[in-house]
Amino acid sequence: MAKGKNIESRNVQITDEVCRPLYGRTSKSWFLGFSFGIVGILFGVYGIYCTLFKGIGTWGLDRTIGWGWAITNFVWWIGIGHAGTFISAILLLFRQKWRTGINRAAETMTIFAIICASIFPIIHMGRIAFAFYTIPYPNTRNLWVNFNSPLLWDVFAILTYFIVSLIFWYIGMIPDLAVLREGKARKFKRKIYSLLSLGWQGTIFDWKRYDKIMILLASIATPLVISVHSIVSMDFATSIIPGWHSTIFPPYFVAGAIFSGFAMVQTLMIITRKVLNLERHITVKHINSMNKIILLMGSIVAFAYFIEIFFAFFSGNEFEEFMFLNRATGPYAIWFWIMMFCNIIIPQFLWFKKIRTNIAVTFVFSILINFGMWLERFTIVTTSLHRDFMPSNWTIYKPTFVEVSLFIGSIGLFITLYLVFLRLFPIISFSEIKHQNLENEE
Amino acid sequence: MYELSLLKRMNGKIKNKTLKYQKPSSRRDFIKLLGYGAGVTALLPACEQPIRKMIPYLVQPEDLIPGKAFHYATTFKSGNLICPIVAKLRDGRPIKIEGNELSQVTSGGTNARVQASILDLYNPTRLQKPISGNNVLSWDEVDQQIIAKLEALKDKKIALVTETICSPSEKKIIDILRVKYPNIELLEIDFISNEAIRMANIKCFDLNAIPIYHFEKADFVVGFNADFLSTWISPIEFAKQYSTRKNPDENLLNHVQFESTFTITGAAADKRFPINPSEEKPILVELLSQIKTIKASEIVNLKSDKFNLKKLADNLLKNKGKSLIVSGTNSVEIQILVNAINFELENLGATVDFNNSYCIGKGKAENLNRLINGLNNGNYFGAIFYKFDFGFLSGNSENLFSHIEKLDLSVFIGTNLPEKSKAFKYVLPANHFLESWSDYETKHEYFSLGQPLIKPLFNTRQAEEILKNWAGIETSYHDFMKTRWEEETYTKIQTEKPFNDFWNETLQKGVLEKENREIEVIIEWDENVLKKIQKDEVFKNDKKIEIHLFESSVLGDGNQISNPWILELPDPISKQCWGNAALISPEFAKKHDLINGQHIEILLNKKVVEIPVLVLPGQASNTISVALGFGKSNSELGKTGSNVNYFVQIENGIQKYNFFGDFRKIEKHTELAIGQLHDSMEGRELIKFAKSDEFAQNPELFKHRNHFPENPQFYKKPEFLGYHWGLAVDLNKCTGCSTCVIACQAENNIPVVGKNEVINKHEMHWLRVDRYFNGDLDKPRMLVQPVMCQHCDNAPCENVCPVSATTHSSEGINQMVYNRCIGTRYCANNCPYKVRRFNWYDYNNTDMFKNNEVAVLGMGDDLTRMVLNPDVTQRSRGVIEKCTFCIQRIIDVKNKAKLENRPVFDGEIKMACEQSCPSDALVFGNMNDAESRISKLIKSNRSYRMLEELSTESSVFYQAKIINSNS
Repeated sequence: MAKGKNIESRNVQITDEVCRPLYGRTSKSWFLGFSFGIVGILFGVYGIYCTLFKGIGTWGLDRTIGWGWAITNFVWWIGIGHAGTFISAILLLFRQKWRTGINRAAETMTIFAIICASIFPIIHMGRIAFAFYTIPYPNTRNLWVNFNSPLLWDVFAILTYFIVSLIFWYIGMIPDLAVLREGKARKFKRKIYSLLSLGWQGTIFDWKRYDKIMILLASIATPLVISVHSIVSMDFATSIIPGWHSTIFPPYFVAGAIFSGFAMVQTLMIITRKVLNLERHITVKHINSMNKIILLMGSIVAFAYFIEIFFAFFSGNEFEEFMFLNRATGPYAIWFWIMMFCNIIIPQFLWFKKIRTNIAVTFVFSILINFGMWLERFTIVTTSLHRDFMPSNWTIYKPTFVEVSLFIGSIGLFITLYLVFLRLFPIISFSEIKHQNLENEE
Repeated sequence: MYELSLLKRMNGKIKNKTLKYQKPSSRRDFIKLLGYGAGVTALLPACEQPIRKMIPYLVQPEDLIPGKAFHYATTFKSGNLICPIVAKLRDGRPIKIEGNELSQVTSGGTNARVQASILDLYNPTRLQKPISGNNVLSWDEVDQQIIAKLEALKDKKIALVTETICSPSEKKIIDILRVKYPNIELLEIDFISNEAIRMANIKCFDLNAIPIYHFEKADFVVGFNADFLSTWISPIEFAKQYSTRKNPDENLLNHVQFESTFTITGAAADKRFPINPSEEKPILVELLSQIKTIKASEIVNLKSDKFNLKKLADNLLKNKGKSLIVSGTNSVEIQILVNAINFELENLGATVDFNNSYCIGKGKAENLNRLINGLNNGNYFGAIFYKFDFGFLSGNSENLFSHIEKLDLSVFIGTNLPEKSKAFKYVLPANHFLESWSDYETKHEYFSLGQPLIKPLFNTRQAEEILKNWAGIETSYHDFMKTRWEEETYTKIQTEKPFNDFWNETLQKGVLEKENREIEVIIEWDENVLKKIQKDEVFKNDKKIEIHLFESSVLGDGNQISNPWILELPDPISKQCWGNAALISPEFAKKHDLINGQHIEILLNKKVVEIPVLVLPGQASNTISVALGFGKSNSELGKTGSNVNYFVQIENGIQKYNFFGDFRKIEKHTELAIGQLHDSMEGRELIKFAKSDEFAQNPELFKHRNHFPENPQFYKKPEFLGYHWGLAVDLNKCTGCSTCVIACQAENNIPVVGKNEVINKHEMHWLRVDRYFNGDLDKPRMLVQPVMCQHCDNAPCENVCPVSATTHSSEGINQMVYNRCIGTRYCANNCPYKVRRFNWYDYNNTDMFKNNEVAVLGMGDDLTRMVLNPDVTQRSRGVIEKCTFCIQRIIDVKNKAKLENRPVFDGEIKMACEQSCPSDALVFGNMNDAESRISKLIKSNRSYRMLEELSTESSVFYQAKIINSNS
C-alpha cells in the first residue's frame, strides 16, 4: 500500500512539474522567444507579399534554376518533421522505453515542421490561386491530375503524413488532456481541455483501447515515415538532371531526414529542458540515445554520399562526373565542403561517450548538423541545376532578400507555434511517464 | 461522471438553439441577407481582371473577314538596307513582317531589323504631330509657313540633308523641288559609308558604282573586315547567296576571313584571322605580290608566314575567276588593292559584276564637310533634315546644334524624335513605311514597291508628301508615283499588259526585277593606280592601340535604337543586349587588367567616351572595337549604350572608322546584360562539326549513337499516325544572325523584359541562339546553334507536371496549356535543353494585380499591344511558356487543306523562324512523309539529335557543321 502511495505522490509531482509552464505567469524568456518568433513571421509576411504581388521574379531564380531556397527549405523542414513520427511510431513498435520523455516534443515539432514546410511548395507556385488543380476531384472541365508526376505524389504523401501525424499526436495527448481538465487551469481553458479529451475517464477500458489504437496508428505511421521522404526524394530522382537522377535517393533522403530531425529534436530538447526546468524528465540518457541514432544515420548519410560519388564516376556519364567535380570545385564548392564537414565529420565524434553525454557539445553539434543538412538540400537542388547539360544555359544563383525573409519567416512561425504550444499543452507526455514508472516498479 | 453531465447540458443547449432557428424568417433576416448579397456582388467582381471592351463593326466592310489574315507586299527601308517584304494584316492591323519570296534579290530572306520594324510602327516614342517650338501645328499651317519661308529665302542657300535617295519617285520630287527653289542643295550622307568602293572604282575603271557581288558563283571567298552576312552593302542578298554554297554534298565554298572584331561572317568562315585594322593594307599588298609572283614564276614556295598568305595566294589562283575578295574598310587604297587582286584573279566580270550596280550608298563625306563648313561659315540660311537622324552625324559636328538654332529655317522630317530636337524650328513627323507608298531601286532596274497597310496612326504625313507639297505638286504622292511609273518605267518594259494591269500586278508582287541587263560594261585595268599607294610600314604598329568602329549586326545604323525587340536581342557575337561595350581580346584584358563591365574612357582627338569593356575571344589583340549606332539619349530608357558616333572622322574626303587611339581605365563597374554566361562547350557534343576531309573519309562520323535500348521508357513508344512534325536545322548554313529570334518574338507575342531582367537571366525568347567559342581563346572558332523546344516524343517535361499542363499532341508536338499551368517550374528544371520560359513578373499587363508590371518602353500599353498576334494567347504572370512549333500556323494551313480536302503539302507550313531565315537553315515538315524535305534531311549523314543519349526522342534534327579543309 505504501508503495502505491509512493507512486501516487510521485505521479502528482510529475504532473506538477510538467504542467507548471501551463499555469504560472508567462516568463520573460518566453516573451523574448515569442517576440523573436513574431518578428520572424513579419519577415515572412513581407516575403509572401512580394512574391504574391510582384511575382517570383523577386527571387533569385532564373531561366536555368527554377528551384532555389524555397524548395531547399521545403525539403529541410520536411526532413526535420521526420524525427517526431520516427520516435513515436517506430520506437514505440520497437518498445524503446526511453522515448517517453521526448516523444511529445518530437511529435509537436513534426506537426509544426510540416506546417512550415508546406508554405514553400505553395508559394513557389506561379499561380497560387490555382493550387487546387493538384487535387483530383471530379470537375466540369473534365480535367484530371497527372499521376505520373512526383510532385503530385508529394501532395498525397505530405497530406497523408500530416493527417496521420496529427491524429497520432492528438490521440497520444488525450490522457494528459483529461488530467489537465481536472487541473488548476481557468474554467474556460478547462472547458476546452474537457472537449478535447473526448470524455477520457482513465478506466481500464479506456487504456486498453488507447494502447490498441496507439499500436495501430504506429503501424500505419511507420511506413509513412519511410514513404514521405522517399517520395520527396523522387521529385529529384525521377528527373533527368545529373545530380538529381539517382536511384539511391529514397533511402538516402530518409536517412538524411531522420538525421536532421533528430538533430532538431536535440536542439529543441536541450533548450526546453533548460528553460522549463525539465532536466529530471529529459535526461542525459535521452540525449545519449538520440546521439547514437544521429551517429547511425550520419554514417548512413556519409555512405550514401560516397556511393553517389562513386557511381557518378563509375557510370562513365560525363554529365554526372562533371556535376560532382563542379560541386566540389565549382562556384559553390565552399558550401559543399562545409556540408561535408557538418554531415560526415561531425557525427563521427559521437562515437565517444564523453561527447555524446556532453550537453553543450551536443547542442553545438545539433545546430551544425541542421545547417549541414540544409546545405545538403541546397547542394542537391541548386548546384545540380545551375550547370546541367548545355553550357549555354549555365548561370549562378544568389538568393534575394525576399527568399531569405521567407526562410526567416518559416523559422519565426515554428518558434511561435512551439512557444504557444508550450503555454497550452504539456510538452512531456506525463501519463506515459507515469505508465513507464509503474512498469519499471513492477 | 462529470463528463456525461456536461454532455447532457450541452445537448440541452443544442436543442434550444435548434428551436430558436425554427422561427419563420423575419424582415430583419431578409434585409441582412439582402445586404450580404449586395456586398458580395459588389466585392467579388473587384477581384476580376480589368475589363477591356471589344467593339464590333457597326457595318462590316465587305472584304474583311474577322480573324482572317491578309498579306500585302511592301518594302522595308532604313538607311542603306532595303528589303522587299510581305506584311501580314489582321483585322486592319499589320502584325508581322515576312520576306517577299518573289524577290530574286532576297528570295524571302529578312534580317532582325526588318523583322523588328513592325514594332516601330506602334512605338510610343514616335513623332506624333507637327511641332514648332512648343506649338502644335496643323499640316496646312506647316505648309503655309514653310513655303513662305522658302519664298523669302529664295536667293539664299538651303541644305537638304538626307540619306541616300534610291527611290526614283522620291528623287523626282526632290528634283522638282530644286527646280522651284534652285537654292536648295541636296546633301546625301551615309551613316555607314562605303564610299571608298565608289571612289576606288572611279580611279580604277572610271565608274562611280558599287558593283554586284556574286557569292553564289564564288568557290573561294576572302573577306577583309567585310561583314557581308549581316551589314555590308546588301547583307540579306549575300546571306542567301552564301547559304547556297554551304552544302557539303555539293561544291562547298572556301571562305577565309581577316577581321578585327568577330562578326558572324568570320564565324561562318572556314578560316579566320584576327587582324588589327592597320594590318589590313600590308596583308593585301603582300597577298597581291604573292599572287603576282606565283603567276609569274609558277613555282609555289609554300613557306608559311603569319597568315599563310602564300598558300592563300596559291589557293586563290587555283580558283581563278571563281574567287572573290571583298573588303569592308572604307579606305580608297584598300579598295584599289582589292580591285587589283580581283583583277589578277580574273574575277572582274565573273564574281564582281559591273554590268549592274547598287543604287545604295551614294552618300558622300564631302557633303558632310560642306554642311559643317557651310553652317560654321554661315553660308546656309536654312536646313531641311529629311529622313535623317540628326544624332548620328559623324565628324566635327558637335556644335552644329547651335548653328542650326540660328538658321532662319530649320526643319526635321522623320519618324523618331531627333536628338536635341529643340534646335529645329519645325519637327515634322513622317509616316512609318507601313503607312507609306514607296518605290525603291536596290540595283538598277530592280524595283521594290511599298504600299501602306494602315492609315497613319498619328497626325503624320508621308515624308515624300511633305516635300511634294512644298514643290507645288498638286496630286497625291501615290498618283505622282503611279504617273512617273507610267511615263518612265512602264515605257521601258516590254509588256503587252495595259498600264493599270501592269501596275496592279507589280504592286501585288511588290517587286519588278529585270534579270539580264543588256548593257555590257567593259573593264580596263590600269596598273598605274597601284603606284600611288603608299608603302606602309609592314606589320609595324603592333604596340599602338587601335580603335575600330563597326556597324552592329543587330542595331545597324541605329535608327531602331528605341525598338525594344532590337535592344533585347543578344548580339550574335558578344551576346550583349541593352547597350554596347568596348570589345577587347582576352590577351588585351589580361595585359591591362580589365574585366567585363569595367569602365574605360576611349581617347581620340581630344574626344572622350566612357564605355564598359567586354572581353571577346577572337578579337584582334591590340584593337578596341566599338559598335556604332548606340547612345541616342532621348529614348524613354535614357541612354542606351555609349555613343561613339562622334569618333567617326573625315580624312582625305572619306569617312574613316579605324584610328590609333588610347584608353584610360576608370574606377567604375557596371553589370552588362549578357544573354549567355558560359562561352565554352566543355567538350560536349552539342554542336557537332568536322573538317570536310574527315567527313569525306568517314561519312558515318555523326551517326554514332550512344548505346541505349530502342525504347528505354516505361511506356509504349508513341506512334504518330497522321502528321509527325519535325524541324531540321542546318548548322552549316546557320550564321547565328538571330533574325529567327525576332521573327519568333513577333509571331508569338513574346514579352520584352528589360535590361535588369536580362541581368537577372529572366529573358523570355522562345528561340535562342547559343554561341560557343571553341579552341584557342585568341583565335577561336565560333559555333552557333539555334535552340528552340525540341518537341521530344519522350519529353522529360511532360511526365513531371502535376496537373498535366504540358502534353503531347497526336502530331508529335509538345503542347503547353497556359490555363492549366500552376507554375511549379518543374518542367523547366527537367528540360535538358532549358527552353522553357517562366513569367517571373507581369511583363505584359495581363495580371490581376494592377501596377505590378515589369514592362519597358510602354510594351504593355494599348498602342504597342496592337502588334500582338491575335492567334497567340498572351501569357500571364506565373505560367511557363515555350516554342509551340508555331501551332497557329500549322492549324491555319491544316484548316485550309481540310477545306480543299487534301493533305498538307510539304513546305506549305512555314514556321516564323524558318520563314525569316536569310540562309534557309531551318526546314519544317512532316516526318511521316518519306518524300518531304525534312525526311530526306533526317536521313542525311550529317543529321543528329542534340543530347540523343538522354532518349528524349526529340523532333528537332541538327545537321552537323562541315568546315572546308582546303582553305
